[in-house]
Amino acid sequence: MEEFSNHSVSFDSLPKFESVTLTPLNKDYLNVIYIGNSIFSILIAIGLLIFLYLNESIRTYIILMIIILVCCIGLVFWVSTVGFKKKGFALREKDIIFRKGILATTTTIIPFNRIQHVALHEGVLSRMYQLSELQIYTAGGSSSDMHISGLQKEEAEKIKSFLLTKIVTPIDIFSNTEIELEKPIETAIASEEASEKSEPQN
Amino acid sequence: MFVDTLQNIIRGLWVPLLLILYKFDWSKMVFFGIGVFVLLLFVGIIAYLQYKNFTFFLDEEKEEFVIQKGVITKNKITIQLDKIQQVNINQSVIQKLVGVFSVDIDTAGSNKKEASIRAVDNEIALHLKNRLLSFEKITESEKTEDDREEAQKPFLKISFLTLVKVGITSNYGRSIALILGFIGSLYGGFSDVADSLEVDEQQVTGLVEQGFNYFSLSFFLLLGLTLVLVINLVRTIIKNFDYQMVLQRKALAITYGLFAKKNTLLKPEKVQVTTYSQNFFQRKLNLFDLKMKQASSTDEAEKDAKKSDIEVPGCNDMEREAILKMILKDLPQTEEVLYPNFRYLIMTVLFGIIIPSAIFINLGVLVFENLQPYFPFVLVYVLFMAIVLFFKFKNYRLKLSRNFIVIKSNAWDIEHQLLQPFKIQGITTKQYFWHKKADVVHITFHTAAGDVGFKFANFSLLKPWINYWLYEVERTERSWM
Repeated sequence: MEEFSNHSVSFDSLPKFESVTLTPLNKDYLNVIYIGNSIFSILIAIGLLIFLYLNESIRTYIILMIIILVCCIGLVFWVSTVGFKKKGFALREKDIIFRKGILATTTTIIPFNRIQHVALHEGVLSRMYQLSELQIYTAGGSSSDMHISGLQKEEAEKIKSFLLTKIVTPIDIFSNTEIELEKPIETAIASEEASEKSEPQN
Repeated sequence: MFVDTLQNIIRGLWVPLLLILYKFDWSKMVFFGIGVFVLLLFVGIIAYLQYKNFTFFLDEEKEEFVIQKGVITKNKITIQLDKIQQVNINQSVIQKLVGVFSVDIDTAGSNKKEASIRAVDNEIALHLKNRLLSFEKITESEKTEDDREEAQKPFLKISFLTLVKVGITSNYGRSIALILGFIGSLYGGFSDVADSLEVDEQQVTGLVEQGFNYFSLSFFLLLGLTLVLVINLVRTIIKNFDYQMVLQRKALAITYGLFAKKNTLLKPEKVQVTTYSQNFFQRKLNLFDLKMKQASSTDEAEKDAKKSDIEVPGCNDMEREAILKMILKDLPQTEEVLYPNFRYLIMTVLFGIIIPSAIFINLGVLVFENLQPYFPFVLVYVLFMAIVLFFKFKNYRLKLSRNFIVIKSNAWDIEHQLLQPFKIQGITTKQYFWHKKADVVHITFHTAAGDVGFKFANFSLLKPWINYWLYEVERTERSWM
């Protein structure tokens, strides 16, 4: 109970998560999104063409269909642009904040001492622009995992190594067992066999 | 082991077996007999080989528990003792006949049970459990601990009478679903039989309809109600017969079950979210239903978490407080209560009443005209839902204090979810843009036992609390598990 002794902390003096200014994602990432969208649109257009080619009766509506297609593609581009602008992250001294969302603004905060591990992902398109995605895992399940995409590769590496220094994993605490595992295999097996023999008597 | 393998094989083969039985030609009895014999022999050989190749031991030096198994592919499972989350000793009916137990070892790591030892005798099982779960303690002073253990009295014991009370008052929803499922499968099975026997279907359905006419509706309702109660009662008693909770070193040892005996050891620090619930009848009888959620693995958290939940089916106020004190070290006090915005009511009414009834009426008017005689039921539904939603809104509260987050919810089984701030893994807030002006936000606490959330809270009131919780998590030295 000692660590709870300083109870009189006033709420006003605490650092405020809501007033942190967020860093937007790298501008190049928008290009990556656009390229992805373009490929997607081209595929859809090809699909529509094939469909029109096979179905003669629908050809009378061809103009309507093209209008709908163009609108859809426009919408996809607009939505992804807005989504890009809404995304942002901030590193504080003891936690990381990530905000996203078009209809709903979702803000996730993960304290460093609750991070389980960190992963870096690189897509094909992202690699062209030297970008990568940082994924942060917690014990809270996939819903609380944080995906920060569109980070410059060097920056992402930096953040990753920074986070790794902050994580206190159980492995650190139990490091003595790891050292023991490094002894020669023969002796390890021998000790296993010894304990195996002694086990039934327990 | 033999029985176990047989069980596994039968589980895999039951469909073809049923087919064989169903289309059985009695003249081929001899072949069938030979088939069964060969199968049994086969099972026996496999079981023997599996038994021969299954060994487990405790490596005291490396603090590991090792299981080796496999006939063709050899598996070696090594579990570090400190990572073991829970050890369950179970005994099914068959195992009871043979007099063995199965030991399941669970870690937080993966979805399924990490390791399972299917047949050990009682002594070894108990010994294993104690060794696995309190490794550090045992190395300190083994003998004195064991002596002390003998003298320990049950921390909580649920009497038969309490179980009867619990059985009568709880889980209506689950039992009704069970009965509906049962009736459904019965009906399905019945029509299958009718089809295969080539019974004149019209005759049968005519009979059934006549039957419906003879029984009055009220009688059916009464029958259904009694059935629900009886099934509830029987299920509760069978499942929780002789429920005992013993304080063992720093953990709680729980045993229960009439036919299949279950034995679980729970470490208080592994509990992430504690839930207690009580409905109207239970309040009159001073009964609580207590649930402790442990850290479970990531993706199938929802489904899997239920399995590792530990439930105390019936305890009174004092026992509840004692258990809470034991697990949480403290009892929650309320410093600030947050109410949901009235928009919560709008949303639930929209999705619970307006949309379903609109769909039903539209279907009745436009598509299926024979739905129309059932329109009065829509009124009943609307009334029922209105009452439920009103109470849901009335009971929906977020009670906050420095050491606790308490979420109160539900209409009938009023539920309190207790969460300690230092067990939070992360916090997510979600605000729709049309909620910005109203200052309304949904908050989710990510814990190792799944997400816990509160919707339609006041953001300005919540902000200082979020900052406080973050501060609490970030400065604390207490481990969440």
